[in-house]
Amino acid sequence: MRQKKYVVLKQRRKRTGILLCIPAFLVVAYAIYMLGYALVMSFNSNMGVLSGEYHFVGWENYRKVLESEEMRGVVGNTLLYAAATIVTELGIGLLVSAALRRNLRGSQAAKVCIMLPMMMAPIASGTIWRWMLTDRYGIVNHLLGLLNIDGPMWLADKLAAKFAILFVSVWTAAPFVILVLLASISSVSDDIIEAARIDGAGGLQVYWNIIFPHLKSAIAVILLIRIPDALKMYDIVYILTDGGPANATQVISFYVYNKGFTSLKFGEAAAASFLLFLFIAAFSVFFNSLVNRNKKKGR
Amino acid sequence: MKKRVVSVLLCAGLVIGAIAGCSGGKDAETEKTDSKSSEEGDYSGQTLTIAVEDGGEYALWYESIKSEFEEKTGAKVTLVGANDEAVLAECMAKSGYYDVLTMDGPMIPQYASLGYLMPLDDYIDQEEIDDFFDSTIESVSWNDSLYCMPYLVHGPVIYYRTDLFEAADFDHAPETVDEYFEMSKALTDESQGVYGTIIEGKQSSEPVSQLLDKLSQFGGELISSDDPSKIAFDSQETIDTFEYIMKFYDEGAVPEGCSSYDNGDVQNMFLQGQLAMACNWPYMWSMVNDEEYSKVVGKVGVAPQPGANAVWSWSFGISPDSKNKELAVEWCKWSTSSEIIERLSENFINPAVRESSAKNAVAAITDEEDAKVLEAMNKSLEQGVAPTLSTNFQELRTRVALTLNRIATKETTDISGEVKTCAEDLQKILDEVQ
Amino acid sequence: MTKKKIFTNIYTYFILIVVSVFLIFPFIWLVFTSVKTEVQLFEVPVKILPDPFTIKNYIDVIQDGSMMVYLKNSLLISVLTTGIALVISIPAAYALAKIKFRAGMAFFMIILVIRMVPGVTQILPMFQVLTRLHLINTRIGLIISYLPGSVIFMIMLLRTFFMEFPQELEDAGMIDGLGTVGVIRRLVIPISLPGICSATLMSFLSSWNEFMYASVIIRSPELKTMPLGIQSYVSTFQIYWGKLTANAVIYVLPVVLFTIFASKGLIQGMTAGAVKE
Repeated sequence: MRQKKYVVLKQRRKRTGILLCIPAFLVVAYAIYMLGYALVMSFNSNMGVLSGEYHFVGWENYRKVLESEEMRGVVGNTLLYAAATIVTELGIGLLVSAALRRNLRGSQAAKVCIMLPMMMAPIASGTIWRWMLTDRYGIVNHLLGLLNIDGPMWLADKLAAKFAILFVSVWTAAPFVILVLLASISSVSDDIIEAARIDGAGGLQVYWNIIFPHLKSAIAVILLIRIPDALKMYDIVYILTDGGPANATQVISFYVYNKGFTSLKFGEAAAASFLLFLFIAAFSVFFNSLVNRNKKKGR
Repeated sequence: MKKRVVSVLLCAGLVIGAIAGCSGGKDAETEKTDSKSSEEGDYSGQTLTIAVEDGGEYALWYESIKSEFEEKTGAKVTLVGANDEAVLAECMAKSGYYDVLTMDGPMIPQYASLGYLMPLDDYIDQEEIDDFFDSTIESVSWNDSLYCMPYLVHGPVIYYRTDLFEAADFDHAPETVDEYFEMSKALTDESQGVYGTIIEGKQSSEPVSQLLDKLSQFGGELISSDDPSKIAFDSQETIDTFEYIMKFYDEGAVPEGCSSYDNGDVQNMFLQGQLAMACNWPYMWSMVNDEEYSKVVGKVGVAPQPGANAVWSWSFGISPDSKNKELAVEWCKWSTSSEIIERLSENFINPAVRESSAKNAVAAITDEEDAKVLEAMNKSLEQGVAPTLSTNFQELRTRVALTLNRIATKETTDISGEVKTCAEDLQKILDEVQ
Repeated sequence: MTKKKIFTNIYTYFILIVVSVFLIFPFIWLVFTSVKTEVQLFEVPVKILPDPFTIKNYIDVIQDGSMMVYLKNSLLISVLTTGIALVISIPAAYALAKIKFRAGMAFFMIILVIRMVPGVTQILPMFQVLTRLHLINTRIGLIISYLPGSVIFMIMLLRTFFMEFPQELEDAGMIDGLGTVGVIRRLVIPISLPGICSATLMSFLSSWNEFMYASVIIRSPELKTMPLGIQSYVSTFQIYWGKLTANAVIYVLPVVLFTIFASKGLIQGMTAGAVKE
């Protein structure tokens, strides 16, 4: 009798769950529809999209995209960029969160400074950075000059432009990384650290053996969120360098956008963007399962 | 209790907001449908929506005089700043949101071939057309049809600092390419923060326009004018052009970072008095004389570029999906009428696209300085070469921008090799549309 | 011991100061640029302090009047998007956090996948669909485009918050005769308020700052949002830095002030969800 009631309750609860999700599902369905639309478009000819007709061309667009030499360079740039930004962000994040954990006077002010870049529109922050990095009237090189450093041509030099993109990306995303790590590091109890200290562990040892293991799940979350974001980055390149000099800062999203809106090859653009999506999705699934397996092992 | 009040307020706010939010969009919608109910000749009640270049100087000027057209026709005119993406997207959707499109010359073949522009042959009298300079009509035609009405055809001219020229004992503006280089080098004075000139090298479309000027001065071309299906870029002339440009870079006649400069940087530096010469568009003349932006008011002369330059058109075309085609035709006629073109020419001291306007403008300008400037600008139109276009000119330009940037940043020093690869790629791109 | 402590303190301050300056400096430079005259902007060598100091850029921008319209549009669209997203996401996030059902798990997987879709993949389909619905160049069209992103983001964040909601409290509510909706409204929302606030803010900001979709969907000047307004000072020919920066200052000021006042709560809310994965 009791068992039966339980089952009924459970059934009803499931129904409630589905009902609660319906509005959200409708919104998400719209996004799915658009994804499907992009997929269909990626099999249409470039002219077809422009003239509003449908000429099925099979894998033609995908073939063109995969064969193009330019695309290979772009993919390389994107991966390099994603790896570099995320490593830098994590490095800064680990340093700063550890520094903030000590809760010295003034930490609160530092936290406010850290939050501000998150609030800024990428279009606005990209523009102001471009202004700061111009070689003649830019403040960055002027300040470097005061330190007797001859600043590079940020937007003209191939390597410097890559670094410029890196700095601006780190500027916009580091706050998020710092805050997540800070939240995680704050939950390490002082007692454990104190105990380790008494046992004679030095500062670095404490960090490495006690604090760092604690941060692992936070780092996993950061990677899971930041890697896809870095792979789809668009606005900073759009504003700062237009993909130049000599294609050194072309990334996939920007390439796709130009392929569509400048070269008017919307079929190929759709194919390239769909490949980007598949790549990100595959990566995320793979990474997620890796994290989950580790978690299980840990237990 | 308090919380409930707050949440009720929030909900009310949302609803009100939603209603207010929708109404904005609806107003625009109703205005459009209203416009259908009108009689011929009188356009009152109609609204003409014109896509213009966001923040463009000419767009602002047309905005300032549009009321005359409104009085004449009784219609309402809205000029909407639109980027290329927005215009393209509307054309693809065949929405007819924009009745009139502002067209940058190189885009016309593409838009025309895709059916995004309406042929104007049946709407414009031959008499009218005859008043335009032939090259200007050519630049807005494709496959023997007229697609747009030009209001401006222009090519970059040399702006030079009369005070610096005097100090250096130069009594004339450069008349040959070699002179242009020699003078740039001689006028460069890094200790004063003054450079001879700038030859832009950024990977973007404007520097390519400047490159094509130089190319025409060396007698080269991008697409062959004899056979528009052939790329003529792989030539000794092209190599000479690039070698000439690199001479400026190597011998310090241009500032160091100039391989990342775009048109805007050139203007900024020139207006700041940091350049002795600049090749730039005719519209910069009005900026040079604006004290708010310029430190060089009264110290600038204008001369045509040595021998040749490319010319480009700006024009108004009509979307075939427009619901106000007749009114749109009226706008195209009015905005390029002899009188308006004359006023545009006088206002900006720019070359006029119509013979009658050019004559009247020259006669009307009394200021000696202005008259000289206009003469130089008209000369640039006379010696102007209209580049052969193709339906995917933008893509070609993007590819050329890469090569220009690779050479300017010294990513490669093998100029002939780079030009050859570029020409091969260009031919492939061109072949795609044949 | 104390010597060592002083050393670590100096080291800590060094890191904090360097990073804070790196992060805050662009804001300072933004303000400085906005109060310089146009001629002063391009002076070489760069003069750091504005001299003469001018508020002409601000006067120009305000007199132009369009900025107020853009601000109003941005506010309206962000508030509406966030409000609607909240109403839709809270129940779904609750269901996904608290009720175990297969459809829910599948739904959550779909959400995770859709979050991966790059904006650039969606932009053209979005445009064509909205055209067919006659929603191009309307505020509703823009809100519809922002909704999926906002809803997905909120569900992901709120779900982690709701998972921490104590089961006993929920059971007690049920026994008191509150239905599921009642439990959500009377118990879950009030208790998870900090988390909901931070999710609201993040979602608000993402609509407030969005540029790419707006640039393709909105045409009329009277419907443009603030990022489009800022972008309009960057034409192919010229960048009007003075006006642009004045505009940007007015644009970020409310958000910055809000951040400074609410920073403590924000940090807690923003990070709590992300960590407890």
